Amino acid sequence: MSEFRRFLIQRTIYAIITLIITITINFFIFRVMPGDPVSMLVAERVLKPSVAEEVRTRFGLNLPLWQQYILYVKNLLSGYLGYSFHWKEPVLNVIMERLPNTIILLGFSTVLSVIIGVFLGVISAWRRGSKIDVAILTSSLMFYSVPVFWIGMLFLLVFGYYLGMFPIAGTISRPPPQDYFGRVFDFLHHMTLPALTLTLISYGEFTLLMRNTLLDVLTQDYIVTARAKGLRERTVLVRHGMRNALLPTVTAIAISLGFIVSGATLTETVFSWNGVGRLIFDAMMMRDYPVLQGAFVIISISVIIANYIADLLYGFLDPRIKYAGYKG
Amino acid sequence: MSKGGVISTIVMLLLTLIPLTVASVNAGNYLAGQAVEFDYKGPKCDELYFVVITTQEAQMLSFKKGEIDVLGWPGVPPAQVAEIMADPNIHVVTTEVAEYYPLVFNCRKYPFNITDFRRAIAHIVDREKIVEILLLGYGRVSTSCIPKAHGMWHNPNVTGYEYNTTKAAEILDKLGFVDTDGDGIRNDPRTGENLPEFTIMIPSYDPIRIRMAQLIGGWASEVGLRIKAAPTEHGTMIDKIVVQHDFDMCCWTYGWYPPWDCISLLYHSSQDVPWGWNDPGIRNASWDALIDEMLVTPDMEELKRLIWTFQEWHMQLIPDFPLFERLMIDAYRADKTEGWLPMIGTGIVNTWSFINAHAKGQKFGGIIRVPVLKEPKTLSPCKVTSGWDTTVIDCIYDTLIRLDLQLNYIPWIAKSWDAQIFEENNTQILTFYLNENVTWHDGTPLTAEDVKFTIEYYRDYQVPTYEPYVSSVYKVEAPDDYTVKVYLNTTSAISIHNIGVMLYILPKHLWENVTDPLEFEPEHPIGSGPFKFVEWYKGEYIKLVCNEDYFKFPPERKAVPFELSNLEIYPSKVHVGEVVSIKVTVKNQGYATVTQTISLKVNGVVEDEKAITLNPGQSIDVTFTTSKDVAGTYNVEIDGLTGTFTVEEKPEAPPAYPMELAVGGAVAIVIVAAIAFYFITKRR
Repeated sequence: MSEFRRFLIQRTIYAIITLIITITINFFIFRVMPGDPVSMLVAERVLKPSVAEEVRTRFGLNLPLWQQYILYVKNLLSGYLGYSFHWKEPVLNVIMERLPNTIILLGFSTVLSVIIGVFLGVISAWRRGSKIDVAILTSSLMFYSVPVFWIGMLFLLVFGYYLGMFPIAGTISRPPPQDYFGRVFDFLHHMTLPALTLTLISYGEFTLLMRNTLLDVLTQDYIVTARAKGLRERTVLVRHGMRNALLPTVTAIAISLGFIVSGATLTETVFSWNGVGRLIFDAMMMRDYPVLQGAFVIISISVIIANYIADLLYGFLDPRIKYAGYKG
Repeated sequence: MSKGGVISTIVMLLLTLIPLTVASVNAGNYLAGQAVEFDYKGPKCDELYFVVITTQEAQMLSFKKGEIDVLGWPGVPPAQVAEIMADPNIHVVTTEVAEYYPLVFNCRKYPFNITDFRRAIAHIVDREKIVEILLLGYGRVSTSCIPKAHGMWHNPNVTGYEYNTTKAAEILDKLGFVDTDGDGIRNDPRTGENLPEFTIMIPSYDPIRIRMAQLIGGWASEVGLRIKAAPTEHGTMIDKIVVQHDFDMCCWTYGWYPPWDCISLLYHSSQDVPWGWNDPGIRNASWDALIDEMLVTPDMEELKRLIWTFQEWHMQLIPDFPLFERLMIDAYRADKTEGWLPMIGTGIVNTWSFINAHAKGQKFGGIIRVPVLKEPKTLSPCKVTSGWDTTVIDCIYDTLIRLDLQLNYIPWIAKSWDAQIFEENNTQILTFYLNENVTWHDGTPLTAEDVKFTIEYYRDYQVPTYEPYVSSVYKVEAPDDYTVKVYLNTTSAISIHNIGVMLYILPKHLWENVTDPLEFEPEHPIGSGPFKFVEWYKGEYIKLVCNEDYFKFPPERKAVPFELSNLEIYPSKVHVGEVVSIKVTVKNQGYATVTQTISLKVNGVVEDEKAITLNPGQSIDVTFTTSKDVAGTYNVEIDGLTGTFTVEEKPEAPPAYPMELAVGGAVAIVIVAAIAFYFITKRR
């Protein structure tokens, strides 16, 4: 068996184990929360206690926990994520309806923040100690640490309200434009502020990571050698420095991409963006366990897959990794 | 839970009060305004959007920016009123709210099971201060468990417990709760120990009530009691209060109409069970007897008397202590819209407003955009569970009777009704006489069969929302197309309310094959209400349009034929074969967009037709052309306007001057000259 294949199998098994643990935690975490999901229905005082009992039976909430767990795993394996208490629809539909909005928003802002973040990180490391470095470092740290809802509301107030450049809420105008391109433009117009917010608060992560690893790399002997060989600074930086410094960043990027489906709960809520993040928030408020559980399963799977790919990529990018631990 | 259903949900929709528009705001006083005139005809706008905006902050910004036209429940925070009033384009409207804000005591638990102990607590609450500090004057002290906004049902003679710590201390002393060890905390006479620290459970999302509980804690310490605020997550609160009955005091809102539901649910012993409604856990046989009587009395006056009596009894025993009545503060964009109507509970965001509101400065038309904090989860009347659902459903579907702005019954689909009560065998017959010009949105007439079907459907499928209202129906008859007889096993006067006001009528032809009303979601809801459903863009908006066939549609808004004027014929004298232009000005004088065919008749024969579409008030010139081969005088007629033109034989024409040739020649000369000039200059 080739070493690469072995590595692949090992990583796959790890991923599957992680997945099993995750979905198990995912199941129990909702069961230990206080309050009963049906209580929300009764609390809205729309159900009689007797009907509430029926609902419990129907959703299997009266079964012992282990039976509920088996039912849950069985359903998961058959691709059934459950039925939303609140939306009265299969969870998968509920999530899928909102997934495109979220993927577009998060995908766009993640890619943008990776590009900006890595770029600024490289500049910062290259010009270490300069004013540019200090400026980049300070701004990255600042944006990285401010609360996202605060910056979102600030943007709404300044760009949405005072300057009136962007709409305040939603993904589309009411009434919506009639033609296709008008709608697309309208959507992008609505997306600008939330995407900008998300980019601002997340690029810092990549900047800091890139800067730190690059600084580390730049002190290595082979960089000195490269310089001594008389290579141009640019070549040293790009070919010898960045390449080696990219490894941790790749992992970070992969994980971020995995979270694209999770949405951004706070940002989506602030901007009334109809995505998975807002769905999670609403589901939390209404104790819609199946939706929460379903959303978390999808997020877990997507993060685990992204990690898995990152692992493989890592091995591919840095040949030392894949063999080191598994050489017989 | 004898009466579940939409009670809690229609709360916001059904309550109403003195209509007010605000000229000036003076916090602390009720706001002066003048009554709004409303003819109960509509809709007057063209389109109605329910826009999902999930945070109050974003709603406020959207509103101030003009992206939405109104700001409704939960209203403008009192602290922001002044700021909002500064904008001349925004009008603020205040309405009384029928929500009931009590301090609920857990009467099952010592020492709250002691009536005098509860009275003592009532005396330490300075409600004036709460209204002043926390509501900034936008409210008033509550005096009864039936808020004043309930109109005739509110007993004005009931008075509460004034703020008086001395009195409270006296009562506590008398009960034996005295501070025996001198540590400033009263001791329990049973054990000699200090009384424990009591908690007031409040929803953690409401800063006003949290602060209120803290204030009460402060006042309590003056009389040697320890009370602290316990902000609690909503679901946990339900679990503790409704299921486990494990709390000292709590403060949450009961907002509903009608009052008999409120009383019979909140204070009947049968509701003192887990999941029941009797949160205070009060059990009193004479209360139960009175409530039972309330629910069967055939006479409205008697019902009122019983409800008034109950309010007196309630204040005696105070299982819960009425705190304050909030004033609802709404606002609308006065630069874009007009016609908003205030109603208690919802303020100006209610169905009457949607029917009456329209673009500013014109009699009809315009788009109305209403924000909702929570997206409705269904547009099926069978699945309604929250006020957000009913807000939209109430526009698409109709009831037999509606409640007007003053909370009176107003004939709606039923133009009249009567009740025959047979006390000897405890039954009654309700007869509804339906309007004959009501149609479903698909054009099918609404008949007695639909009403009969609806009542039986809700009863037979035990649709939880309506089951309490129809459970006593044993027979429904439709003797003719527009008469419905409902036979009930009860003499209760409120049956008319339950059947007439509470039930959304369903179209039989679309629902008779639906066997799972609790699952079924109509893709395109068809009702008979003032608005037709167009589109539900999930997560964004629900779009409805004006139902132009609505039986209450303003007659003057209906399409009127175009007005034609200024018939011009040019030239009026031509030669054979030459073209005559006939122009007429066409104007849409009405309030609807109209498409009409204008036809040109020459000598009584239709020669040409044009289909013209004009918006309200729009006017255009329409031109026809014709030519004749025979000389003579021709009569022209366009929809009543007449004129003539004359056609003459062609005279012997002189040789026509070859104009084209002349022009062509000139052009050729210019070109040749230009080329020549070019070559000459180049050579140099």
